[in-house]
Amino acid sequence: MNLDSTIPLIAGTVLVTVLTVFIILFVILYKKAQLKFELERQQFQQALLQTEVEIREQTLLNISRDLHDNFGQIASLVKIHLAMISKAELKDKDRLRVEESVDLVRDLIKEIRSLSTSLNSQNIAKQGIVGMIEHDISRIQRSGFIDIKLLYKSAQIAIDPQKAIFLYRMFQEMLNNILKHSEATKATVGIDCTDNILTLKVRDNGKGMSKTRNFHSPVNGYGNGLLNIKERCKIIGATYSIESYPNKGTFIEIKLPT
Amino acid sequence: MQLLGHISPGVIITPGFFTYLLILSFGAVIGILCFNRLSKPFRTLTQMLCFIILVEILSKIFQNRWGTNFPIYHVSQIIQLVFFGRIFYLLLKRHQKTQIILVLSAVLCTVLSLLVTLFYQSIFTFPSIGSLLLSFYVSFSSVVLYYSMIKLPIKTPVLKQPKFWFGAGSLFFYTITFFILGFFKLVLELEGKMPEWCYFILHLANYILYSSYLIAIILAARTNHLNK
Repeated sequence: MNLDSTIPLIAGTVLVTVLTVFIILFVILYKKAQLKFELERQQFQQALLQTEVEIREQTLLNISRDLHDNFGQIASLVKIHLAMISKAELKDKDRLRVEESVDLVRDLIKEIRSLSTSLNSQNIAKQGIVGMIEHDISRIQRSGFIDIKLLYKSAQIAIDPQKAIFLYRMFQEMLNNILKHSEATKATVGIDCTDNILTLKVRDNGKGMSKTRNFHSPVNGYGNGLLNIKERCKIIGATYSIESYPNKGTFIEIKLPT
Repeated sequence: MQLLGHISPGVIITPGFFTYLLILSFGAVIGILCFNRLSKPFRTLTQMLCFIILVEILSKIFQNRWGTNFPIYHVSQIIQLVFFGRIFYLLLKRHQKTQIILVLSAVLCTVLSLLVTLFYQSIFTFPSIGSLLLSFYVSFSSVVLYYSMIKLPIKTPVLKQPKFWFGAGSLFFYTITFFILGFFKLVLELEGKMPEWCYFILHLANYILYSSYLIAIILAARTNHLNK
């Protein structure tokens, strides 16, 4: 092979090498672009979730105020009117009915105030997360549908107020699932803070969920709540685990670094 | 084989040509079998592969009958430009501005190639200008395709994307072709004929091209099957 054909041969080899290097570079650049895109997508999703949560909290706050200011007032007025009825002029039967009505309206006012409290996330700052959970459990206990125990070591847990709201809403979601879907008769709620990790555990003795089912895939409305919990855990940096077996109840544990 | 039109009469199939035809046919057959599962750009690619098989058969017939197959190549370059124009248009559906640029480039190259064939280079000479235009267009479009992939990445790993393999094969083969055609005249003047290493590089580039297209078609069929 003479010099005159060596030069094109070298040029050809260089060209092939350049092309190969170009394609390898493209693969590297593409992987970087993919990672960057994925990160941006996650950040966007988080921001979207955060906004959803803020809108929801504002809506719940508005409902809480309406309940307290409007419904609560109307119920109080009804109680006052009933109390003003002259019982001396009534027959025994009617007097009993009026007294029962007064009791019912008194209970209604209590429930309205209780519900208003649990919808208003600003109360978390006043009562603390344990206080709010206790308040909700008492309200459920009064209904008699289910026996719920609350176990905690300390009522005062230092936690970021924003994270406390998230945790409280997640607890409400879990409670909602127990009442609506689990058919449980008993439940235990445990809340504890050890080594700067707040642990919330909820266990019930209900019908549980099938192993083969994806717990976070909405089926007949079942799974949307769990999906919400999972998403909220991601936002506040909490870890979340769920164990559920058919007819063996469900156990959910959330761990949040404080 | 593409760009090796100047084969002496009587030589029908060499081992290198046979291997090339095998890879090409394999790609076309897989494409036809999975045609319904393929997305539009890869259906067009399958159609193009079938067209190239037809071109190769016709070129052998022409070579044996009339001693030259250059007329076939003049026509096939122009038709391939149309095929590639359509494929790149369909691959860049999410990038409208880039789509327009590539379509206009394809139209321009096709028209120029046609004018060169009709008025400048006789159909009985090797279509070097037409091949240059085709090689330039495909190389340029492949780079643009890669650029658009980086701008809008998707979750699928890049090596599992049919676009990547289509672009890699096209870029490899047509860039080499472009440069060989650029050196073609110089080498012919120096050597008097095309040296053996030139044929070797073209063989290799052809294998890489059609193997990449085959991988692209298989991945395209699999992706669409999974997405259904």
